[in-house]
Amino acid sequence: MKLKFLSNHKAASKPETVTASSRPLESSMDANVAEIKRRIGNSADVVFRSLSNPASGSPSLTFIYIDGLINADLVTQAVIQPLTDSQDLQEQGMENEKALLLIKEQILPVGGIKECKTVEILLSMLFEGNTIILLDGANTALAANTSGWETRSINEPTSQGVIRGPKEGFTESLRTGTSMLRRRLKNADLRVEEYKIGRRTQTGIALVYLYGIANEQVLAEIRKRLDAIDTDSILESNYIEELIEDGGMTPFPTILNTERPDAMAGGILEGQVGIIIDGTPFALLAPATFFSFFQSSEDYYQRYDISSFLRIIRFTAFFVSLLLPALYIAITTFHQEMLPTTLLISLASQREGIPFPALIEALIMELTFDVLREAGVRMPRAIGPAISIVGALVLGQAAVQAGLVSAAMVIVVSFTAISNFVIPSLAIANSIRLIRFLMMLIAGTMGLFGIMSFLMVLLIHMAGLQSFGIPYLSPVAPMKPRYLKDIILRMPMWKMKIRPSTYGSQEAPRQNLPAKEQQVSAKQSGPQGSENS
Amino acid sequence: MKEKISTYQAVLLIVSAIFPTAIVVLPVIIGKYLEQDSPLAVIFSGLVGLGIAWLIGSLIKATGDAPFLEWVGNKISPVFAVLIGIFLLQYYLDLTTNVLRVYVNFIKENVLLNTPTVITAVIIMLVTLYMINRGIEAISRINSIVNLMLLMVFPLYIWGLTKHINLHRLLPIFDHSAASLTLASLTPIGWMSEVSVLLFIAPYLKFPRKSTFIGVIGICLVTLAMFVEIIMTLLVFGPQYMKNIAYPIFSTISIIQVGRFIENLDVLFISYWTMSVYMKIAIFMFATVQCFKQTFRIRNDKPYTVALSIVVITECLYTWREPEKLNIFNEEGRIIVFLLFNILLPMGILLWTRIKEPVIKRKEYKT
Repeated sequence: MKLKFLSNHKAASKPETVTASSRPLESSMDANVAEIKRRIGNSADVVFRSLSNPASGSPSLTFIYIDGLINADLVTQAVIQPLTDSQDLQEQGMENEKALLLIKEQILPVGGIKECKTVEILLSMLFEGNTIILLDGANTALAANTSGWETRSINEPTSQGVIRGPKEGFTESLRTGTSMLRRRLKNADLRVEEYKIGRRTQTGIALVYLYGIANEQVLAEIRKRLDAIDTDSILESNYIEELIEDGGMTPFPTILNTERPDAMAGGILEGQVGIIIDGTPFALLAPATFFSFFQSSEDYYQRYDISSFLRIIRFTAFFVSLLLPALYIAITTFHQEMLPTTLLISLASQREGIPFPALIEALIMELTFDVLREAGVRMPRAIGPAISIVGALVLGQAAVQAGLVSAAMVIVVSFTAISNFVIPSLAIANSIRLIRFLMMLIAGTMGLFGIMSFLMVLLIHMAGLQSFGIPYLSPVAPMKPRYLKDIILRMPMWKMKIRPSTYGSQEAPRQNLPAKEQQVSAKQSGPQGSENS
Repeated sequence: MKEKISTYQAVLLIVSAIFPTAIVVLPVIIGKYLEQDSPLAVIFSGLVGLGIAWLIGSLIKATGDAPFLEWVGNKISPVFAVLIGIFLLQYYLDLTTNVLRVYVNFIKENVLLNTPTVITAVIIMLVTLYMINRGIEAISRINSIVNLMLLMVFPLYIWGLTKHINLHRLLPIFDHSAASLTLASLTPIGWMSEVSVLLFIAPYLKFPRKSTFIGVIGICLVTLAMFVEIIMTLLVFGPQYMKNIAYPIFSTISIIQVGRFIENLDVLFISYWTMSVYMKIAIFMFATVQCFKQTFRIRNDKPYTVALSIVVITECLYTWREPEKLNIFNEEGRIIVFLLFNILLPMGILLWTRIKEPVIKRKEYKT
């Protein structure tokens, strides 16, 4: 729907033309250099270096590269030096085509040499960190892969940390990302398809999947949606996410984002398709179901019992985060009879003297917390603790002592906020943050009936949602009991013998030996035997 | 990847089409005639309900996966199809209105005492419209989750009431006449006959030929749930109390206490009930829209859905303004309507096709 809208919009107002029509290179090197200079302007970082020595008989050459995008040593040692030292090239009367072939196939030791026949291709290769070699008299240029720029080293993911498990996260480099997956999935079926999206940014995007496991229909749909993107820039994975996701105006994310290569590898093994975007450590996984946002990689790195317990905690936290302030408002405003008498008396005494109704009180506190949270993200790290003190003491304790809010409300808002952070995915935690405000307003006007009605709307909305053709609430609605082993609870590994077809992949066994046989063989062979196995 | 309704989901749709209002309306009506023998009426009506489920299932089998009214038009006469379509439309509109009014009355009496009825009715219909807009597949998916909630609530309900049980409240058994049993069973039979909604859901089923199974299992589950509810109410409060209070199930749940700190569990059940009534209204509103669509052969039903909702709200607000009148109609009048539209009409059509088809085949053979 969204893509249709985009195409209609495109038809209505034509996007700006960034590149001129395709122009072939000329045989005159000077003319080509002049055209390139005209196209890229007087940019300080673009280096033009001409070499000509008519006495030696070698043809005139011009090297073009962008300082900062290339490895300077590589350019000198693997491109310029071999060409200037080459005796073969100094042969008198050598044809240009022959010279070009000689350079390409014999002289240059650098890997990845491509021919450029048009100015546009030449420029695109130049911006990717290639060194362009123009030969006077030849209407074809060569692009030698000499790319080498400063990149961030591989660090621990900042938003998805674990206690046990791999400590490396994706970086901003697309190639580093694909290599991290290759290291984990050493399998010939791992396919990487590359796209360039964004008329101005030409952002590299890699579609990563396991051939034979990822659903072909899902893959075709993702390819179609990626091909349909017509935008001038892609700077982060959210650009792609918003442009290809299902659901239209839904507050729920239908594509999962992750910083963790192990999480992506796990998803790919279950039939999901990874999308890595150059320039951001946040990669995407699609299709995604509602329950996949509650799964963390650590669930599989620690024992199933504690993982299951933590899953239950997360789902409870989800409901607390969504409903607790709303329920507090509804009960204290409309349904006081629901509370046990002692609790009711305690709450009533706390609320005595509070000038605001529960709804206003809750809205003030929630908004205050969101302001604090936003301030905490934006401000320099050194000031962070000061804000925490201001938030905790001034806005919490002082507000209660001043009689502006009740202590119970502070507890409700704090517990709600903490619960929100329990959810592993920031995307779904953020959607709950927004829905919570709506829920509070409804609870303040229609009580429990309003909450249940809104819950029904949310549920039916989610039941109708799809992520690339996969029902958002699967495998719970529609119910597939066989695939519930890794949803609310995380069953032991030896119980999860099949790959569920939740993401549209073919159901297939993941373990060949029945669990009991494995255990028996492990016991029989002892520690040494198990090592050997 | 458009999915169809699975057999299991369809069974739960039938449960939701009958159970939510049956659980609040029927105990009082049954209790008035049979007192401590009330469970007998549930069993009797359940048995009749199985027969109706078989009848509806057989009719769906005969339609061969075609929409019901379209099939009637082909088999009998297009005029007859339109005629019964109009009557069925009136029936479904009336039924949806009835459910809406029962819901609105409950909210007015128990939850939102000061909120104007019109606001409640409009909100409920807006939610229902959204549900219809998302489609019957989405409704059936959520319905499964709502019914799973019932599975969680029911054991808690039985366990919580065990210490209040007094078996003597069921005595003397078989103390009422067959006439009382018949009178007490009439209204529940009417409710069980709501299984006929399958006629309009069948085209969306993955296996429409399993409709008899769907109906039978659905009726069995409803009968079981009703039986448990009535017997628990009798065991806890006795027959006199049951027939004199408006919502016996909520009263029984309200006495459940866990230790000294968890009480008033009726809130939990009311929450479930609120969601299940939404399901019921959505199912019957869907059937209304389908009936309208099939009768007047309309392709884009969305604008008409809004119009039909307005009719439902209007009827709810003005026809059934007084709860007493609704109670009397539910007790005495609805059985005739149910009998006519859910039993006699499908039976007549089935018999017509069974008698007429061999005659046509014989003629074809002769020619």
